[in-house]
Amino acid sequence: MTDQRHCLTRRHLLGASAALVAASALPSPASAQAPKFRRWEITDPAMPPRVLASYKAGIRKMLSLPPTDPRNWYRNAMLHLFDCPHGNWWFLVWHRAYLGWLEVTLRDLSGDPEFALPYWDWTKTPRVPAAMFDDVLDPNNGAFIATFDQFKAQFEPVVTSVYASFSAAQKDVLALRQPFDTAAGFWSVMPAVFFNQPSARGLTLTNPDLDSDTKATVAINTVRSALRTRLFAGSGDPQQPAGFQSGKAANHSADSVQGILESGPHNNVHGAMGGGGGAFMAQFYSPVDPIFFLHHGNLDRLWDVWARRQAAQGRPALPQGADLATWSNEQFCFFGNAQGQAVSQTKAGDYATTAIFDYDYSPGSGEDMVPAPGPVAAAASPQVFDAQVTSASIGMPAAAGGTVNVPAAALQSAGTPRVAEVTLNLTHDDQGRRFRVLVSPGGGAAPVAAGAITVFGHPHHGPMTFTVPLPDNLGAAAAGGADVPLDIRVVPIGGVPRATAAAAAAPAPLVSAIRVRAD
Amino acid sequence: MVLVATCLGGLQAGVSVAQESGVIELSVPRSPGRDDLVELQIATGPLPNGARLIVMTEQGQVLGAVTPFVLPGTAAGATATIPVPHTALADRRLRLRLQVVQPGAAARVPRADEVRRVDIILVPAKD
Repeated sequence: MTDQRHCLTRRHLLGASAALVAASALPSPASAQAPKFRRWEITDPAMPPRVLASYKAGIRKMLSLPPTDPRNWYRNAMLHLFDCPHGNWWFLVWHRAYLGWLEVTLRDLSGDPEFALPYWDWTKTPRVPAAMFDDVLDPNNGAFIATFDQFKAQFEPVVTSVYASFSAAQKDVLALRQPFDTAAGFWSVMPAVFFNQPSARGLTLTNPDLDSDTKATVAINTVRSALRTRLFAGSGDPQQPAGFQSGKAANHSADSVQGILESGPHNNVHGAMGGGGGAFMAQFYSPVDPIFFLHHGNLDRLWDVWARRQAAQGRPALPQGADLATWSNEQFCFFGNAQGQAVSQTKAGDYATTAIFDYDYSPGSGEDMVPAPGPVAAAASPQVFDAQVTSASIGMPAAAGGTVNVPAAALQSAGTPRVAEVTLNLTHDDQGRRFRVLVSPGGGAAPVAAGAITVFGHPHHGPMTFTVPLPDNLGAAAAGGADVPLDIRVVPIGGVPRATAAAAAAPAPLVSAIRVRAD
Repeated sequence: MVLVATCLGGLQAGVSVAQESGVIELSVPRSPGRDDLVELQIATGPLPNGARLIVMTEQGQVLGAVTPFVLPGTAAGATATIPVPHTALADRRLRLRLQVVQPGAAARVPRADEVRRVDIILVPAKD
């Protein structure tokens, strides 16, 4: 391995002053100039064609380098096995460094001085972009090593040499990542993480879609929830929030509580790339697949969005107090530059912002969560409007429900959830009943279905409130900013078999209250 | 202050559970306010190779999925966070259905060692 004299062993690090590099870990002030490099969203028509051309050129060059060269594509992927943090608060910053140093290397090897990695916005495009099946952007391409046996034949001598050359600091890290602490342990694992062609990637050009469950984890609501997290990182204790970065841990190979971003989009997209089977992306040798860097580019972009959102709302974007030094001083000892030499930036804090690699991102999903900078507004109180229940009995000729006047402004605010809360007086006989909630903005407009209520699970007795989202554009019915006279009705959904004859004969529950809430 | 309700083991008695269907019920101490965050924290044990844990409401709305992404040979599970939309709560209660899905096998209720802990966390808007 290349000389790692910049990297401190954990013994040296723990013995150093707590004030060490705390100040230098702080990100440098943002440059007044625009970043030099832009990372484009891969399906953006504005992305210059040279981006993918240069990515392919760089990958081809790295695939053709001998195994003894640390910039060889498969050698670069090994860094992920040796050193990547998952499930802790160094998860995002390590991957920022990993992508950044690869990008620098690709820029050099491709001959494109403007090259920057593209990213995959899976919220916008919940399928493998078609361009990623072209040429060496697909690990099933002939330029990649086809079988594990071929890979082992080429790399076994090199891996032995690499392990013999590890520095004390690197050995410290590997000791925490068994079985990767020895070459023998390395080879014991590799058959499980190397995938012979054509299974190098599971999703295909004819089957590129993420499965439905993964789509739920990359949906905009999940992304927004992650971005709304206010804490950089949680304590890591059970029952405590994970925070945006995932929870604190003793070292970057230790597990903690995973945050929304890591649990949801990160893990599930990795797994989904197997298409129901195995593939490089579904396991820890995932950087063999060039889409790895686009996947992590989106995660890195969302970190940047989160940091800018925090700043705009007057909240910290980095750990606070003693946590700052703890997080910043963690050593990353395996990165190499475009010449394959060890880098001098070995601390997590060196990568706290995108400034180190001088890039930004074309806007993607979640960008609208960054408010314009300004005074932090006090949180508005929820607006709750009680309906007058005009008919309580469900299933009668006069449909159960009521009317409520709601200011049009409350129904028109973008991004705020608006719901109807319907309270029913239930008995044991109501188990299994289903009802549809219909909403009309009045003025003769046809009612629309807002949602369904199902009385499920264990028998209930007494009032129970169900929440259904209100349809959009109800506020459009208001003229000149007037109130909207919402008419909300609850009607039975027929055809649901009842458990007993008594239940079938029992009357439907009564509507006891209806409220509209606009938070 | 973080407000927590816990369901241990997912399938144990003491909470409103229908063991056959793998439904668990959790509740938050109060109705969430506008800016409050509601999150599920799920601690899983090892899952079969290629398997994932699907987390959905009793009505079948998928809230999220837990897909292990760990070093090979790692026996430990993971603790995942899944956001919960306020509209999934009814009277401060959330009824969940958990399923283990894996290629080539029917979806099933998780075993007790596969889901070790399920917590619902309400993170107030004001820290």
